[in-house]
Amino acid sequence: MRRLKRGWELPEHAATPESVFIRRRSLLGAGALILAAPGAVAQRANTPAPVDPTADLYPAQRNMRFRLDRPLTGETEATTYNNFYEFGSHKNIWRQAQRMALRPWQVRIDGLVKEPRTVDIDTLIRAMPIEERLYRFRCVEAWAMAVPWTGFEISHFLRWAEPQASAKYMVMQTFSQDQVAASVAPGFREPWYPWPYTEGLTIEEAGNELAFLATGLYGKPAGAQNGAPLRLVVPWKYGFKSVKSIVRITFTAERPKTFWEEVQASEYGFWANVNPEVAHPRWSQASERMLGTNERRPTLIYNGYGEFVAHLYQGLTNERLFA
Amino acid sequence: MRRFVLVLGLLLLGLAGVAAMMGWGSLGGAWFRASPGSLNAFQAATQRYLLPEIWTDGMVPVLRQPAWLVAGTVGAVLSIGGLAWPHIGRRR
Repeated sequence: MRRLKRGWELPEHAATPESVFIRRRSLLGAGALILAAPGAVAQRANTPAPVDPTADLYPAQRNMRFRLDRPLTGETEATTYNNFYEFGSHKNIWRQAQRMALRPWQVRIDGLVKEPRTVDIDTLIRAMPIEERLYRFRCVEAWAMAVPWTGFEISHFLRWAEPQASAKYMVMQTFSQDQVAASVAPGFREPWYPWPYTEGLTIEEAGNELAFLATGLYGKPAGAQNGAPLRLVVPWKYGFKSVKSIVRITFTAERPKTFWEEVQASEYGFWANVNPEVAHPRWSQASERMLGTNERRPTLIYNGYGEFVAHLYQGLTNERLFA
Repeated sequence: MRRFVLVLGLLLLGLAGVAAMMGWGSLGGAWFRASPGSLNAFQAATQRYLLPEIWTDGMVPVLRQPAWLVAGTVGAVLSIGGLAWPHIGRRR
């Protein structure tokens, strides 16, 4: 896995102020942007959509119940080293992702709910109790980070959405080509993939206090590369479970077939709980590389969140819980 | 070497015929149905270790073409090359 070169980084005092940069963007054409100072380009990666109607909610109050055993990953690393297959399978998709418009954005909630509805993202965010949480994040590719997410606990969303008692799964989907053109998300030029990206949790998992729908990180609204304006964060599972840029949430009685199950079920299953003892078919999961520092740390069962979630899986003896 | 190129070309021409008759669709679609993991790994290796543009601007347009067309084109080129081999580069 290649890491982004950081030769362009500048000391804080030398970086272009955000307000100046945004004003400049409105004046300069696309050609002039190419010539913009490297500091401005670096800041662009960390800057959310120019006008976020929920920006006043940030920074949110931190929930101190969730603590880290490691330093926070630098914002630049967390916002410029990303997996988002709709934009490409490499790690530098953040540049391409900036082309995606984050507003207007609606989320469809349907399936086994009291009342199916389509809600504007800003209405939804303002209906939820927004907070900040520090979570570890473990990618199935054996890299990791520690991130201050802003968002809301899914249990609050469940009370708001009112799924029926027969609902067993919460299925989430990323935008499709109907919402974002292939010129913006070039992954859609590969129609053999089972778009839209689909992921799911059991209702019990979704109702766990760790399960989180994130709207921002590092005290700001998220950028597109991190899954804005709404993404899943389930820190006890491998990162590919955390579906980004959600446009649809469906409650079902049947377990969904996820994107990665369709692509490579033997390597990327439905449960995908972190376990250092269960190796990926092509590499060990015993340790992880921290983004930014390249420090290697031993990986923890359930990514260190066993006290919160281990009980969810008791009795599930015939399931591949860790792949 | 000449015989190898010729046989490979003829095999690809045969494969193109099968692809056309069986309606395999695009090369990428056929590859994905046959081995999704290898296609995904090939994409990841190309984009991460070479250049993303090699995939998006070079490979994807080819993979989107009908499987019979790609196999047939490559097969025809190799077959013609194999047949013409004694004459290629021959000096008077």
